[in-house]
Amino acid sequence: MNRLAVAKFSLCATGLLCLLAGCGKGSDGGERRVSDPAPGQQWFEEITEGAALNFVHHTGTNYFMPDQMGSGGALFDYDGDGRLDIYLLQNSGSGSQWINRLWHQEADGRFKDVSAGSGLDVAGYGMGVAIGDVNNDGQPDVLLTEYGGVRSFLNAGDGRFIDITQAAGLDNPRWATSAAFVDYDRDGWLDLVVANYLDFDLTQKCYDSRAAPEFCGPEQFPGLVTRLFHNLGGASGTGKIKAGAVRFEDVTVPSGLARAPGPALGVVCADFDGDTWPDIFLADDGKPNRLFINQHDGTFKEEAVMRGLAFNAMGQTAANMGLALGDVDGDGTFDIFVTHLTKEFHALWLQGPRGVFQDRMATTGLARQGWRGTGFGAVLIDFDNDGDLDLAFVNGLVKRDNGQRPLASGVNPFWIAYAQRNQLFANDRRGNFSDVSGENPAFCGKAAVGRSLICGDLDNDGAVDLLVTSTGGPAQLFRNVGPQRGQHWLLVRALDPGLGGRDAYGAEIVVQAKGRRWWRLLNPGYGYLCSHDPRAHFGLGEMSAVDSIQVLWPDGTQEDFPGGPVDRIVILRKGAGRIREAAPTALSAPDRPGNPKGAVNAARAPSHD
Amino acid sequence: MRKPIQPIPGQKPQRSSSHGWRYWLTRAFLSLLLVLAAWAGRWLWLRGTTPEPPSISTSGLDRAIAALVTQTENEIRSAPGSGAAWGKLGMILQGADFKVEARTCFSQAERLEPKEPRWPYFHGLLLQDESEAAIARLERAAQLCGDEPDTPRLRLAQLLAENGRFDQAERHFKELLRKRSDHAPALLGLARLSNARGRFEETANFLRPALEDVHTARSAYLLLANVQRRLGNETAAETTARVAATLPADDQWPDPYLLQTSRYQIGQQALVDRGVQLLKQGRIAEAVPTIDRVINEYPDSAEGWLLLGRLRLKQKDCASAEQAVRHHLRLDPRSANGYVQLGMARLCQEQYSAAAASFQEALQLKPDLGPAHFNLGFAQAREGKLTEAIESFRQAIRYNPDFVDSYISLADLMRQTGHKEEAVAQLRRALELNPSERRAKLLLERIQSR
Repeated sequence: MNRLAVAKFSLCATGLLCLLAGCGKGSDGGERRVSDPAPGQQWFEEITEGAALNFVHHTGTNYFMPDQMGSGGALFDYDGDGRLDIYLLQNSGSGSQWINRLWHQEADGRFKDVSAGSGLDVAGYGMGVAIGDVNNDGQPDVLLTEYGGVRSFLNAGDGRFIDITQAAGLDNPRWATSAAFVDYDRDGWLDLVVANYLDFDLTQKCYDSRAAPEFCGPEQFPGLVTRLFHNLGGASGTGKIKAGAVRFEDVTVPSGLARAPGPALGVVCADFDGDTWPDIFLADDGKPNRLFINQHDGTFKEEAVMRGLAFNAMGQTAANMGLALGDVDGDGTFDIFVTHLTKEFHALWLQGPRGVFQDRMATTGLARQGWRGTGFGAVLIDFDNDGDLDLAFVNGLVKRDNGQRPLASGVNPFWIAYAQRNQLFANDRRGNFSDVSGENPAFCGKAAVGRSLICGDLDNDGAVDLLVTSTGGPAQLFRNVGPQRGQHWLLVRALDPGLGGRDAYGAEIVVQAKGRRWWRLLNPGYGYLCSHDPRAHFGLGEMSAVDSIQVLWPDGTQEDFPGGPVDRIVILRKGAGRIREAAPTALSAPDRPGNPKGAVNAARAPSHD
Repeated sequence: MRKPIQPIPGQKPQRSSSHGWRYWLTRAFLSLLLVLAAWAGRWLWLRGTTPEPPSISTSGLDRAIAALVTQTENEIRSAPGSGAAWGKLGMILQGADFKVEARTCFSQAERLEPKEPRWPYFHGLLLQDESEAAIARLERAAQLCGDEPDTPRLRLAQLLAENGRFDQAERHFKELLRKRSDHAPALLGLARLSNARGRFEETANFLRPALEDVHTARSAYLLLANVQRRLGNETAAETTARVAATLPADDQWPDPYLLQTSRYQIGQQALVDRGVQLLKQGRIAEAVPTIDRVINEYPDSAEGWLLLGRLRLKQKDCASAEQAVRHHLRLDPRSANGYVQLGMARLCQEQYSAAAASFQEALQLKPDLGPAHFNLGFAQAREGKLTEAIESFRQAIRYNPDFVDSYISLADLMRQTGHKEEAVAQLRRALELNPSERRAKLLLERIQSR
C-alpha cells in the first residue's frame, strides 16, 4: 500500500468518524453535549435573576480543603407567611466581609435580602444548615455547621435570630458538615445530630503529579465522631420554653455513636428497621457508611454491614457525599441514593425486605449514563407529578481536570477546572431511570462546582423547585415547569399542636388513592449540607382525588385523615384524625421477617406535657 | 558466418561477457537499493502515521520520573513502530497519574502490537468513567491472554457485573472456575450476582469457600452477614459481622501485569507512600530500605525526614528520632505533626518539659489536635503539673471523645487529686466506649474498693 493511498484512506476514515461522533468530544473523557430540549419536555427554567436572588459564594483559593467542600443552605418559612424563604452560607472565614444571607420571599415571588439585623448575617467557614424548632414555639430555628464548630440561632420572631450556642451547651469544635434534627427519644423535643468529617491538618500541603498545589483528599486524615445532642427541653415541662432555657446535652458517648467514628458528609434520620423509632444513617466519604439503629433506651447500635448499607454492590466503599431518600420502586419502603466520584458508580440501595437494603444501581438504568460526574447534593422528587420519584443531583469535581465545558456564568476562574454540569433522571414508575439531562439544558446545560441541591415548592403550585449552591459561584434558582396538564399533586404539612404547633419531624405520611399508595418522610434534614421544604410533596399522576391520608406520628401513634380533592396544600394536625389502634409496625412495612423489637414496642406518649 | 567457439577439452567453459561480475554487482546494488527504499518507505509511513509521543512538560515533575519519561520518549522517536516502547511510556505515565496521556500511549501500543494483551488491559483499567470502552478492551485482553494470567477476565467479569450485565459476568466467572475450581474472587463474584438476583441460598453456597481465602475472606464475611440478615437469621448475621470486623483487609489477587507497572511507580511520592504503608502495617524491616532511599535520593524531602523520625521511634531509637524530626521541622517549620513527633521523641527520652513544649507548639498550629492534647497531658502529669494535665486531658476528650485512653488518664488524675466521683464517671465513659476495656475496669475496681 503506498503512502498516498494510506493518506487518502485516513482522510476518508477520519471524515466518517467525525460524522459519526459529531465531533463533539471534549478532552475530559467524552462528556456528551447537552442538546436543546424537545418542546414541552423541559422540567426547569432558571429564574435566579427574575427572583432577584443575588448571591455569589466566596471562598478561599489557596487549597484549604474546607474551601472546596461547602457550602449549603436552607429553604424554610422563617416568618410563617406560607412562603419559603432562603438562607445561604459563605465560606471565607470569620472576620471576612462575606456573610451568610437571609432572603425573604415577597408576595410577588421575588426575594428580598433581609440579612442585616437578622442575626444570621454572620461570617465563617460555613458548611451546612439544619432547621428545626428546638423550643417548641412553632417557629423554626437555625443550626449552622462550620469548619470548627456549630452555631445555634433561636427564631425570636419578626425576622430576628438570637445566637444561643453557648447558652444551649452546643460544643462541637470540629469540622461539622451536615446536620439534622430528630426526636430520637420521643420526648417531644427535637434533638440534634451533627455529622463531623475529618481531622483535617491544615499544616499539611498536598500536590498533584506535577507538583502543583491541589486539594488534599479525605484518605489522608482520620474520620471524626458524629455527635448527638439531646434536647433537655424545658424545666417547666410545658410545651414551649424561652430562649434562655434551651439546653442540649452531649450524649455522643453514652449513645454509642462515639464507638464508630468516620468521615461523615451526609446524614438522614428515619426509621430504617421498621420499629417506628428514628435511626441515623451517615454517608461516609471513602469509608463504609454507618447506620445507627435506635435501641429505644437512648443508645444506638451500628448495623450498616448487616443491613447492606455499608458498601456498594461490589462490596467496595465509595466516596459517599450527598444522599436522598424516597420510595423509588413504589413498594412502600423507602430507598436511598448516594452520590460518588466520577470514576465510581453512584449507589441506589433499594429496601426489601423491611430493614435490609441492596445496592441495585446496576439494574435501574443509572449505571448506563453516557457521562458520569462527581455528585454531591441529590434529591428524589416527583418533578413531573406523574406519580413516581425522579432523581436530580449536582456535580462538581474535587480534583481539577482540564476538560472543556460550557460554564455557568459567574464562576470564579479558580474553580473553572472543577466545574461539572448537573444531571436529571426520570423514573419509569418501576424504579428504572432514564437520563433526561439532555432535555433540560436550563438545569443541566452549564457547568459549575455544584454542592448543595435544595428542593421546595417556592410558589406553592405543586411543582417542586430547586435551589443550587456552588463553590465559588452564584446560587441558582430553578422553577419547575415540568408537570403536564392532568397530573395532580398534594403538599402535606404535619403539625403537632401539643408541641407548639411545630412540624412533626419524623412523621411518615401515606397517601392512598384507588389502591395506590405513596409514602413520604417528613424531615427536611437530609442531602448535602442543607435543609429542604419541610412539607411532603406527592405527585399523584392522574388521580383526581385521594381516598385517605395516614400519618404515623413520631411518637408512634397512627391517625387516619380523610382524603379529598387534590392540587392543594393540606395541613394535618395531630389529634384531628382518627386514631388507629397502636400498631407494632411502621405504616410502610409490608410483610416482613419477624422483628422482635418492633413487635414489642407499642407507641408511647411523649414524656413532656 | 563465424564458426561458434568450440570448448577446449579440460577447460571450464567461459561465461559470456553479459553475465560477468558487473552484471551481478549491478543486480546486488539494485537489490540493496530496493531494500533501502522499502525500509525508508516503511519508516516514512510509520513516521507519517504514528504520532509523536504525548507532550509532557517535565518541569515540576519528580526528577526520576522526568528522566524516565524523557528516556522513553527518545526510545519511541528512534523506534516509532515499537509497541513495547509506547506501552512502557503508558505504564510510566499511568504511574505518574497522567491518565489521558497514558491512554494515548496504550492506544498506540495496541495498534502496533495488536496481539499483546497487556496494552488493552491497562487501557481498559484507565477507562473508569467509560464503561463500554473499558469492557471492549478488557474483552480483547482476556481473549488474547487466554486466561494466563486470569486478571483480565476477572476484571472484565467484575466490570460487567457493575454495569448490570449479569449474564455475561456470570459466563466469565464460570470460565475462571472451569480453569480453577477454587478461584476465590470468581466465587465471590458469583455470590454477588446471586445476591443481586435475590437467590440468597445460592449466594451463601458460593460464599463458603471464599470465606477461607485471604483474598476474599473479609468481603465474603461481610456479604454473608447481609445475606443472613436478609434470610431472617439476625443472630448469625451479628456473629458474622463481628467476625468480619476482626479480619484484615483482603489481600490483592495476584496480577502479574499490574506488577510490571509497579516498577514504574518511582519518585519521591511513591517511595513515601510505600514507606507510610509499611510502617502502618508494622513491617519495619521492609520499611527501612524504602525510607533510607527517600532520605538518600531526596534529602530535601520534609516528608521523608518525618517518616524517618517515625521509623526511629518504632525502633526505640529516640535520639535519632529527634534528630530526624528536627531536620523535618527545619524543612517544614509549620508542621503540626512534626511537633507532635518531636514531642513523642522527647517523651521517649523522658524529657517531659521539652516534650510538653513541643506539644504546645503543635497546638499553636492546630488547636484541635487531639493527640497533642493527650500527650501534653501525659507530659504534664509526669512533670507533676496535675492541674494542667487534667485540663489537657479534658481538651483531648473534647476534641476526640472516642479516644478511650483520655478518659482513663483523666480518671487516674482525678483519683490522685481526690475527686473520686468524677474519676468513676470518666471510667464509666471509657467503658461505654469499650465495655471490655481492661485498664478502666481495674482502675474502677480499685477506686470502688477504697
